[in-house]
Amino acid sequence: MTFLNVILATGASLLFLSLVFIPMEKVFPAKPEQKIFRKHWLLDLCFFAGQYLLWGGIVLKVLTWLNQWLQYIIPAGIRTTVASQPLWLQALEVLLLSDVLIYWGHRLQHKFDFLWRFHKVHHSAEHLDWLAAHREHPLDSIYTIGIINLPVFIFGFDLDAISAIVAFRGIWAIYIHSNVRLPIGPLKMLIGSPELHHWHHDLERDRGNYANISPLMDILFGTYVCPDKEPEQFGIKEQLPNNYIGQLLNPLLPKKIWNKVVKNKRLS
Amino acid sequence: MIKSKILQVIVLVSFVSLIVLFLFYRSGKLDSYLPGSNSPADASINANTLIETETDTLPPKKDTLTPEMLPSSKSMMVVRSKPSKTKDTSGIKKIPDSLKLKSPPLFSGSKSGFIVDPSTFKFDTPLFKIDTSYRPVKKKKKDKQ
Repeated sequence: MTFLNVILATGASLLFLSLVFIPMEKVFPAKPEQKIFRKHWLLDLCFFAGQYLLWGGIVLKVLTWLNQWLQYIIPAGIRTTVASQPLWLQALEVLLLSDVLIYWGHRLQHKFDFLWRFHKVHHSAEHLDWLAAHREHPLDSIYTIGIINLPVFIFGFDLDAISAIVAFRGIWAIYIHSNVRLPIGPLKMLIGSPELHHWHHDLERDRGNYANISPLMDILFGTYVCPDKEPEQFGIKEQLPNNYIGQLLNPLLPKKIWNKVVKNKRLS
Repeated sequence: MIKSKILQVIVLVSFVSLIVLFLFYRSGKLDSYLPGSNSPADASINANTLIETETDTLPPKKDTLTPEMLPSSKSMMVVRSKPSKTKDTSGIKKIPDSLKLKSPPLFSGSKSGFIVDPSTFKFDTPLFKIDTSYRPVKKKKKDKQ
């Protein structure tokens, strides 16, 4: 019964996201020639399903465990004070703190090879759309979700009270990956948009635009990139298998062992 | 030309509407309209008593069992299995924050947010936790007998 509910919820999510993003991708396409069922859509669907059916729970378990340790760093009195602030102030603080942290956390993912080996799975998508947003290694999820929640873990913000912002942040993260080009004028300096994030997925590993919700951090730290056109090609320069198991295993295994596995199992 | 402009407007309006609807849904504003929620319409006649006896001595479940999640830049869950704040707890003694077991809400990562709340995937708790609130109703009936 429980698992059936998870499956139903996964299906409902897929349906909802299709309804939200497919019409947008058709009417305001960034790459008009890209089809809905483009190359490797099934691989991204596997990541989508895996995230909902397998990894979501595990990631949550790990982070809940992590939180048990982190929540005692700050005295309870301070946490109570933080949680009792006006909602608008909490929302602003959470957005600002998590944006700073995710900006630097994300930059480190591109800088250091150890983090990049997991993060490159997300960047291996050669076609960007709302479904490709879900291509993410579970350990990469733990890293990013851990970082973005660090202020919450430590300071105890009442996110339940600002759940609309939590939800907005989530769906916006999918939107910036969608195959949409909808210029928003000067607002693009304040709110992240697909046209910015698409450049982040350029073939060059350190192209820029590391921020998520707002590009302010990119502007502040000199990594803001916004040409008038779309990047010619998305993806990575390295070789990565184009199947689900291969993409999950590749970052986990040392190169030598991986090469042996590839030879024996033909995973790539 | 006009046709395509109209289409663009329709798509944009429906996009914004669905997003707004989703935000309302995730923030619990639509709970009373959703089937299976503890809205006055579908609550049993004993519901009030139940809620009181259930929460009088225990901290609210949402604090310990169903953390929210801040979405990542890659994914988020759209549909959550069951909103955790549907019960009308007005008039119920509140436990001081300092005594509550803390399991704070979480943001999803920075790539894609979960549309279904990850709390649904807790392996040690049933997905639709609030559905179990109907069990005490049966107990009540037995008591009466």
